[in-house]
Amino acid sequence: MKIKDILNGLAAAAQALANSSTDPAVKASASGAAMFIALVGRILEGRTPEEAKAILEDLLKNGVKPITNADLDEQAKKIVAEITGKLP
Amino acid sequence: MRLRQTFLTVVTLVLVACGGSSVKHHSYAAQTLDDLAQVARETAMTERGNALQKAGLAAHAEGKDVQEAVAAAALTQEKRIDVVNGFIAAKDAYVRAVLAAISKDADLKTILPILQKALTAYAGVQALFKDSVPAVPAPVKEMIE
Repeated sequence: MKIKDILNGLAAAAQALANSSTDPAVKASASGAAMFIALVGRILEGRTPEEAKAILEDLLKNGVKPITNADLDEQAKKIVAEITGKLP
Repeated sequence: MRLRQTFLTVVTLVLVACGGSSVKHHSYAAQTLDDLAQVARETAMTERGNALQKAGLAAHAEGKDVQEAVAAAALTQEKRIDVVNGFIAAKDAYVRAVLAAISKDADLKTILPILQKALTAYAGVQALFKDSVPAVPAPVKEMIE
């Protein structure tokens, strides 16, 4: 069975539980778990385990990175320069 | 088969661990965790930029030090940036955990606390940027509290 099928199967099971349960806590929790499992499942859609590993490794290497102090400094400097008319 | 069984255990544990009172249905059809992180990152930087610009313009209009005003405004944004960075780190940790599970280098049960951390971190992001990122169920927020 492919990784994506496993993950999406689990997400579907969690969502089905969310839809059918009468317990608000279970419904809401299942919905949140289903979301995160499904999001990863979609990334791995139609992949073999080896392909999935490669995709996830690439995601870790090239995915969204934290906001750095350099990013923040650059934004602040640009705004100050724009306001004071000191843009190069 | 073992992978599926263990993952089911993880989901079950998540369901048991969480608690709450309401459910919202959302469409995540085109989104991945990284997409959510990107939206959160861009939203945080845009809102920070707006806050800094507003403070800088006000200072400029009043003849005050613009750089000082912008720096002061930046301080008020620090916690928001930390929240977004926390989610980005939690997102990576979750992806790393799934990767380890696929590689069979780790027990899938270890994903549970990591998944919970990612959910909690995302709830923090959503609380900050309600209009820009999709909501997660209320129990996740309650877990924080």
